[in-house]
Amino acid sequence: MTHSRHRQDAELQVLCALPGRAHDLARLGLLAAPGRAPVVSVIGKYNHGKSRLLNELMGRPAFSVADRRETLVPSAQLHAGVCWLDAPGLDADVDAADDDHALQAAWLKSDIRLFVHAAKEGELDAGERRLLAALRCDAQRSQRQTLLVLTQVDQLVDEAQQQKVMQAIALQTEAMPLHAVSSTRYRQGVEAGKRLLLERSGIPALQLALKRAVDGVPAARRHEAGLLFNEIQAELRALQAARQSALQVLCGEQAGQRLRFDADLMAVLDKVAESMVAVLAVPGADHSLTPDSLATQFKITPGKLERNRLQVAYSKACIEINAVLLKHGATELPLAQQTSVRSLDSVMVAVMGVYVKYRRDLSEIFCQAPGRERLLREFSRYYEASMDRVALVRSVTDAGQALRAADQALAAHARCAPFREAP
Amino acid sequence: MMPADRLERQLIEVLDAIVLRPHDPGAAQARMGRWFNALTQAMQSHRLQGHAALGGAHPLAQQRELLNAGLSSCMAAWERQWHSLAPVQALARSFEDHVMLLVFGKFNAGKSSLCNLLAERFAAHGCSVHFFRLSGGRVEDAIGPLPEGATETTACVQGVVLGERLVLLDTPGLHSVTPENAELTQRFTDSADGVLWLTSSTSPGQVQELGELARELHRHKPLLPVITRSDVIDEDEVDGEIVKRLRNKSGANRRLQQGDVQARAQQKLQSMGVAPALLKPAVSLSAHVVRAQGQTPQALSEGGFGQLYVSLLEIVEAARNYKQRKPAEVLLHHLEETVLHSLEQQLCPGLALLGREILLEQERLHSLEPRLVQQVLRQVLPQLPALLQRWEATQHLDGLCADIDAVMHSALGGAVAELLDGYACASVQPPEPLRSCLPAGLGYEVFYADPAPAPMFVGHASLHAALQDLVRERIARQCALALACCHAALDQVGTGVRSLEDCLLRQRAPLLQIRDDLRAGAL
Repeated sequence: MTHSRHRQDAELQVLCALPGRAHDLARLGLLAAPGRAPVVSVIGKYNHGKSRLLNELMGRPAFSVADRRETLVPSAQLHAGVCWLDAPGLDADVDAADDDHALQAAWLKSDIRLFVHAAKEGELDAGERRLLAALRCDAQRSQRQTLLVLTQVDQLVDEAQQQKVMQAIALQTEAMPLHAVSSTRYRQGVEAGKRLLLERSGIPALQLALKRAVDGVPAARRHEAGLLFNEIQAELRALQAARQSALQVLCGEQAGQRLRFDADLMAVLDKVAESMVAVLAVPGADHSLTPDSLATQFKITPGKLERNRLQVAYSKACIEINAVLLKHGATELPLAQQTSVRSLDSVMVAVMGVYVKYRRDLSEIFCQAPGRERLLREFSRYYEASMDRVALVRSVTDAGQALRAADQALAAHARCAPFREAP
Repeated sequence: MMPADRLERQLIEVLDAIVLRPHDPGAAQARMGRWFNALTQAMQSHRLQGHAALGGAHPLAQQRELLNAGLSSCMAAWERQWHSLAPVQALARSFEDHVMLLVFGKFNAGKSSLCNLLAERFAAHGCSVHFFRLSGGRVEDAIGPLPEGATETTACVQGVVLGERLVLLDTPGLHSVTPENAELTQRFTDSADGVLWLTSSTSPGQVQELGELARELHRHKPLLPVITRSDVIDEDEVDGEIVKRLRNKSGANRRLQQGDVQARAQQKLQSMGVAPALLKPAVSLSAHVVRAQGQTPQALSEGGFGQLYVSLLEIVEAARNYKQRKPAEVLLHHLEETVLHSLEQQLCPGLALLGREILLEQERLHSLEPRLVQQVLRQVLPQLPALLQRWEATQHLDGLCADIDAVMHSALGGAVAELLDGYACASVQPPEPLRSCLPAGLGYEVFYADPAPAPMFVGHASLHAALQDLVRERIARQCALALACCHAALDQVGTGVRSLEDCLLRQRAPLLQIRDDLRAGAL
């Protein structure tokens, strides 16, 4: 019980990673279920004698028969260690719901398929040929066998007609082995003890062929389980690799953007520092500290001039730095910090403040190491808080999660490695 | 029920007495002609127009051109297909006074076998029997009965004329129709007045086949299911040998199969939207047993032929009704199927798709606007400080603004080329140069020492702020204009698509009215 629940959890994880593999995972689950009897299913057009055939092979009238479309849903019977699966015939129904059931039985559940065709109909029609070709293709891949059975041969006029039909079909199927049978002959032979009818029914020969096929089922199941397991594993590995590389690309982009920002910021701070040093290196007294008086308020005083000069230098510096911020999309404050005063909602204002800068301020802010370090730190912090950077972080996180999901699916799948069947 | 041989004679008598006088299709034809002219005019005037802003290489423009080309080829094809009806009409004319029944079914349904047996029965009553083959669009005499076999033997359209009035038309079996004879088969099934659907008793009523008959059934032709090969071989072992005895399937067995086929055929017809009254009750027969038993009256009755003759009488009557309307019906079929249906098949999906894609593209453009503006600004604004620096010595605003204009132009052009690929928008350059938008009195701030002629230093803070605002505003405006231009182009194509769709929709109802009037006998 626990085994199967763990298995179901593992299957679910793999299914989430590879939704296209739903059918294969279901098949793998069936193959792994211990103690499952080999499943023999019939497939073919309705009314061609599928249910009759199964009844004779089982030796019991387990499935209902009539001379019209009768079987509506697949039904299974366990007999002599084999699970016999009867499926509705093809091409009967308007909605093709019958066809879906029948094909599901053929593909998902069965180990051996008996492809049935009534002799009286002559050669196979296009739909039958397509289905048979698909089954044989599958047989090559999964080692699941298909036996071609020609039923109701008692309805042919004579031996010559039977030969003609069999030759025509041989041409269509590239000489696939054909088992000619008659359920009616067999029943008559058994019930009335008629030896010749029994011999010519073809049923004992088919039973022999079936037994050989059934004996081969454990090995075929092992092969198919191994095949499916490996295919799914390979696909999971490819998925993992793809997600890995996607994550790497994003991380690379993230790192590259930061490097470019750092380079530009450091370059502009260097340039600004150099210019500021030149501005501040004027000899003589610091006139900017001399306030204006009533007498001088309309004149151009040395004080005014000096203050203007400093102001011009400061605003140039800010304009230069802001150009770098603009280039990297880091001029806006994060939403949480924004106020209702739009003109103050900029990174420059947040970092530099609005107070008037005198010589000492300018020197501290731009030309000395601690001030420069602070600028680097603050601008980098606002850069990382900008919208585009935050969005990139989210993308990287998402990519990381996707990669982890792929890792987990791969590990879960590995835990479902096919076990050996009990002998 | 009467014995089969009497029913046989009754059938032959009824057929002989039948008078087939088709109604004059003149009134119907005139109305249909008017409808057709209205349609072609409407299609011409609703062709999808182009727009200068949607460049020819744009995928939407290409889709539009494809649709226009499709429309043109449809209209050209109508003319051709009308003329290709000539052999069909010739065939119809040559069998104008015959009731034509299509014998339809898979290759192993025993069509040729049934046709040959019926030919023998008619001949046995002294009627003329005449096999023919259709080759190269003409009716040719064929020698002898139709070939029979368990594999595909019917390679061409063939048939037999029974007496003076009844024609059975045999076509290549379903699923064995090659591309070459598929078209031929379709064209000649046009000329049938009713359908016998033959289906083998081994797998009776594979109703998917009725899908192939959709056209005939929508044309209101009656349908009779015939379950063939309704026989069984009983075996026994006698004196060390297997002995076979051929017999008909029992009455109960046959009724079982007939009921099953009937029910599922009704379902199928319903799902196809076909009037259920067209389906006649199924019959079962075995030509094989009838032959084996020497075609005696009793063999015919037991073989199911009595019931067949009764049903044939009914279906001949129903087919005669169809036939009276036939000349008008043939034109109606052409208009419904070739003209209108082909338009709907070829155009409507493409129009719907184009409409959806236009909507998607408009959404994309909407969400694109902020990104476009941002991309341009991030290129232009960082360059302002350097430009201001360059012109600081001379304070030459003309030069500065010209430089900025050039930078904006290049950035805008590059972004538009990248993000609005395929659109041929009007020039991205604002009509007025930046210089003319600069507020009067704005410029570099020059500070002089007092008194001194030469400037001491030059500032540009307010000039920079003003330029930044101007640039933002101009770029936003130009981007909006460019996108508006794209939207206008899309709107125009979208409107054209919708009006063509509406026009097509409006064409259907009048034609259906003509059809109903015709079938009600009002035309």
